Amino acid sequence: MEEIDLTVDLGRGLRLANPVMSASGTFGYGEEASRYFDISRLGAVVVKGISAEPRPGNPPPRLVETPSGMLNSIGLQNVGLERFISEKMPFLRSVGARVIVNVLGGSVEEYALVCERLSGVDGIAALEINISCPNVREGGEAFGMKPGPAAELVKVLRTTTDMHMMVKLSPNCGDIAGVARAVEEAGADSLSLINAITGMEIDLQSRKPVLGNIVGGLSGPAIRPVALRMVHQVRQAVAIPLVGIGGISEGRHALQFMMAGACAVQVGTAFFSDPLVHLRIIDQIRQFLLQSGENARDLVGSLDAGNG
Amino acid sequence: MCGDDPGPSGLRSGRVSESGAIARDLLRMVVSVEKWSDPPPIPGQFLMMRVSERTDPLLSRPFSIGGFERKGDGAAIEILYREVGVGTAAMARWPIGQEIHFLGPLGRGFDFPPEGSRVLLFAGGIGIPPLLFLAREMAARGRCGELTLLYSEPRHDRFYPLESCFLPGMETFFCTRDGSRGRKGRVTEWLREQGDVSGTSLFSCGPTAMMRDIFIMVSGMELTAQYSLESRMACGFGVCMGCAIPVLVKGEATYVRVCTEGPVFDGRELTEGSFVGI
Repeated sequence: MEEIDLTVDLGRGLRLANPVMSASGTFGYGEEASRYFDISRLGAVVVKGISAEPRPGNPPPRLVETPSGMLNSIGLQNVGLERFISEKMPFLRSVGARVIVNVLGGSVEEYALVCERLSGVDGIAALEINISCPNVREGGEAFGMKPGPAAELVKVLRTTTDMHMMVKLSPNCGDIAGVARAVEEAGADSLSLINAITGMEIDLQSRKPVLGNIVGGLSGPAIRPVALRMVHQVRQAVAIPLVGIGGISEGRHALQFMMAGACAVQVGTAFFSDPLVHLRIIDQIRQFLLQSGENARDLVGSLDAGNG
Repeated sequence: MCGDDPGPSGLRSGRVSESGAIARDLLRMVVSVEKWSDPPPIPGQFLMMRVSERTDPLLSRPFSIGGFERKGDGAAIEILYREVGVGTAAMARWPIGQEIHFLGPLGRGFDFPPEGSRVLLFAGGIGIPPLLFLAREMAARGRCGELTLLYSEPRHDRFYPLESCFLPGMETFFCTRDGSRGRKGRVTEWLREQGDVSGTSLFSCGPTAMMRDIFIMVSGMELTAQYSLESRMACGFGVCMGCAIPVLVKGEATYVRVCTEGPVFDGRELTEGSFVGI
């Protein structure tokens, strides 16, 4: 059988063995997933986002199922920087996973502290900056909502680390291409998109929002067309590599994102119903490439959009 | 994973071998699995059942295991459920022989009560399965004589037919809201009448309000109490953090996962605020 080359290059030292990663917030820190498969087989493991101090997360209910999707308001519960380094990284190193650490913050200073500290830690291949966090200092709007604040954040973080910095974009802004451009200019090495779309559900009997936090992030198959459209738009706006996220549950979805211009994809919600979905998708991509006679990187951006 | 790496393992396949209403508003399904080479589930553990091969309904549904029996190389697993939404409605329509997929056994089960202890089981409504499984396990070890089951339902025709199970020596007190079977009222009223039940091993699964009342009632008593809690779940195996409930760990408030740190919790790990439910 011919060997298909599944490797993809996201720039600044981030070359992956295959285009499939886990999505932050859907994979813990890899231990639970390891009960089901060898997580070093993923192109990369993107772990739950880390803040400087531990965060308890939001009160329940934190979940509600929606048509072909779900809303979550977990509230970024995580063990915090020091416990992540001392308790979670050793396991990830021991299984040989390619680790990308998602980074949170309530202020530019907090993000910077986390990035700086993680840069000194062995076994981390890249940082993914979650810019959908509210800027608590500046009235609570998420950093990723406008190009200005997003760029300012990334500019500061660029000075804290030489590591590959992937910036995860929010779909809840008015101009994702504008945010993408600003963040590229500020020094991002790659962009991952999209994060979850803000949504809500109401209980008719109680007349209250179902989620404890009122609103939450919509994920799953329902958002895939939106995510794909945004990847297509951002591809035309920036030159740096892209990672597609949003409702991917099969190889053919991943292939769409790659044709639209993403070098790689993240798979999140689909993992909840099928712990082997990432491996399945890698295999389905391989099968497609066997048929088409291409390597993974040939596929990237091969969308024929005419005059689009 | 222990021993040699057996390779990736994910959803298990099984077939519906028995299915139907076993009481009013109580459905029973037995899933046959062709090959079961793993240890048996522990009472208190649960399955995450795929209810659709399509995108909707999206998420698997959690069900406590009510019984487990090895059959040759395979096994038969019993679950009990109510038809409360689109997922359970789909399950109720599965024909005999239907191939289904599930994850499990998942979660932390009950700690077995120490030899010779007096055991009280408090079951309410659809909370019966894990306690039924525990009772069956105790019967298998010849310990049913130490068991008292307090079983509560709104009406007489909703109870699981315990007479069809081999549970020799187990004492059962039924409680119904309308008095149509057993004692009229709640199990917690029975408990109040017992006064101090120090020295017993107490297990409870049922409506969250019932478990919270029991929790409050026995606080200050010298006993072990284990509660099987429920929560909305997306993954059921610990990665999404969606099922978390508030507990106190060394005096500090934190959230733990009902699917992984539970669903069974020792009363000492919980506070009143932990009884959140669905």
